[in-house]
Amino acid sequence: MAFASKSPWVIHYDGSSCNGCDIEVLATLCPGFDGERFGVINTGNPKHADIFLVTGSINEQNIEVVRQIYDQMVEPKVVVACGICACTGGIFHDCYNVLGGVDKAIPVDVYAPGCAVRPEALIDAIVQGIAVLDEKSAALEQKKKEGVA
Amino acid sequence: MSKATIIPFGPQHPVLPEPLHLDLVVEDETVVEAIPQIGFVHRGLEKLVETRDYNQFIYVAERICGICAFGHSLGYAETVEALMGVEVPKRAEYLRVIWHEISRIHSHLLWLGLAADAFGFESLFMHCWRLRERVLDIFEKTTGGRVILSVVSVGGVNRDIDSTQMDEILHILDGIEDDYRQIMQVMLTDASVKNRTVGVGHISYEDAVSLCMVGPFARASNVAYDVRMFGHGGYGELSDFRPLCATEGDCYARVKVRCEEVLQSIAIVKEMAAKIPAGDIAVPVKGSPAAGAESANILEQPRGECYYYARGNGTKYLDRMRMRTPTSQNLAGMVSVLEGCDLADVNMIILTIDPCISCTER
Amino acid sequence: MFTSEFMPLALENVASEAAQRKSDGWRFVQLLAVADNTGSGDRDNAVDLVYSYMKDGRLENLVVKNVAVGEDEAKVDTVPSITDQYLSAFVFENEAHDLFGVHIANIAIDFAGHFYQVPVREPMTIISPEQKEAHERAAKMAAAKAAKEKAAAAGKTSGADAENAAKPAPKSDADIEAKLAGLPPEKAAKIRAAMEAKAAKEKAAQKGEAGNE
Repeated sequence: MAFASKSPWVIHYDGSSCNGCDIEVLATLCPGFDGERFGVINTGNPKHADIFLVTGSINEQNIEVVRQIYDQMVEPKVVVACGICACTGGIFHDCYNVLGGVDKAIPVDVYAPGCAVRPEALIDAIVQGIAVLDEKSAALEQKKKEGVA
Repeated sequence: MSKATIIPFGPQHPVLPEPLHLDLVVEDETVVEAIPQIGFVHRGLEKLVETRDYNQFIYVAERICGICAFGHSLGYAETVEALMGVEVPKRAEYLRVIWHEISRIHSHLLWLGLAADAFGFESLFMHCWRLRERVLDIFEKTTGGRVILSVVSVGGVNRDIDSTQMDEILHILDGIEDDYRQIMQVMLTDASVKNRTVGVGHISYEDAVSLCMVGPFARASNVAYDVRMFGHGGYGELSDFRPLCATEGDCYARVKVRCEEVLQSIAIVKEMAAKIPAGDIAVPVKGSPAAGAESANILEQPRGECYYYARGNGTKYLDRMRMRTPTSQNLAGMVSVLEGCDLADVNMIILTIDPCISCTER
Repeated sequence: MFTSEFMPLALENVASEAAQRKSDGWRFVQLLAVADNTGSGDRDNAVDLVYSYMKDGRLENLVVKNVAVGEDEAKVDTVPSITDQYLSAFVFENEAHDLFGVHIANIAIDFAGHFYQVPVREPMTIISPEQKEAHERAAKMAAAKAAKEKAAAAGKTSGADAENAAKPAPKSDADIEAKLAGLPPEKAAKIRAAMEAKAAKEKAAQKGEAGNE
């Protein structure tokens, strides 16, 4: 395992969430649940981040913002859809301005449902995300080797 | 005179968990104009009232905002009750006040933490959120949820708090109060806090009145307005209530008002818990709102006055449900307070207004 | 205790009312629009506007009825902005424009239709099929109720005897129809089918009994 593996930095973006999942994302990283014990640090800069935590559904106006943040992140990267709205649109799925879950805009690796998503589920999702990150970095490594050879 | 430059702020910005975009027109380091751009969280949930009946919509209403979730379900229920002429049992009114005030404690602690984070006091942020977890424990014990509680129904509440649970709540609150007084001491006296807040983002009493500001933002400019003082619902049972105000009108005053409101809320919960009468917690609600019936209602949310409007059409589905949330009312105040401030103070000022974007855009 | 009242306001008085309220020290609470989807308004595409003001615990909601909206410039009503008096109204005026298509002139901070980005124009004025159905159902319910009351009144005038009154009245068709009108159509259809099946069964049973004798 080359780099990644243990300390993923996360970036959080609130799609069109009701705030419930956002504060749970923050609460996960705070005392009480202490997500930081996995080396997780919340960063505001997409270039620093390994895991993209998206809360809330995708709408007309934020779809470009979500894509832009995702594009700015460097490979390997993992997307976690936090909460049922980010997974499928949830209770708001039939609103006129909701396009659906985050997977309408960018590829999602881990889904963490719940309304609001519970911090335990989020920690689980982030740890799963670390595994995906490892896989992706190994694949990247392999590709590099093949390219050289 | 230097050239004006436009600096975009947000939507993804570390200071706010929520997306808010501002175009800041700056000359050197001074902001001359701030133009807000919202709509990133607009879902259009007011339209959902046509496909969810008035009992189901309560679950949509509390998902307008995950921080003021209880307040929105309460405001919505009160509006529909007014529309249909439903009389809520006394015990339910008391329980609603107790949960609403605990929500306020949770919201203010959350905000104090974010404010500490905004002026770079990370350990204070962690302490506030640690304390907030204990408030959420009360929610989890009494309702089963941490964020979305789903305890209000049209006609009352779904769950009772029995006397053993009530004693437990009071015990937890006593512990929180002790810890909180230490945090408050730091918040209000520490030099590093005062350096960032005193004299920053000043707004006068006259401006606060003419911009129709509400909530702690207005009360920090000495506008003595708090919907709770009208004694609506369970608040009428309080022996004494007066809005907490400050005269300075700057960021420090806004921190101070919210700090003191936490203690006020703890006192209200204690008083209500001591006085709560026995009885039913809900009345059965039958029928549907009459065609063309209208009702309007206001409620004090943690962020200020919230206005609700409902119109019936003779079926179980409402024609229109509208919430005017405190932040949308305060946007004009925010724009005018940002004019003339330093660029480095923008995040602090925005935070002390405590904007709730998902409330505003729905 | 605060009081909440609804009162009418003419469209031409919106601006003067705001100026008057401002000088009298009223606080502007909010502005909202309600799409008039009932079809009862005398215009096709109309909304009601509600301006709320508050002072000393009195919440007054001023309702402007039937404001024509839409894309047709010639047919719409132009509403004056009140942002010259109350700046905080700019949020609601932009919202009313974007979601309801209300034409508001001279908003202090005008987003010119870019306040919200939505996939359809004026989404809140679109009458959803569910809403249309709800209105039809409400009309049916009201009609059925009126018919029932009429029947009850007729029964009374003809002089119902004590014996009849003591017995629970058999469920009349009007009664059942009134209930069915309140249900979604697919559910009502199911109940109707079940009732017909039951009636057929009873008929068959009666026939069978008759045969046995």
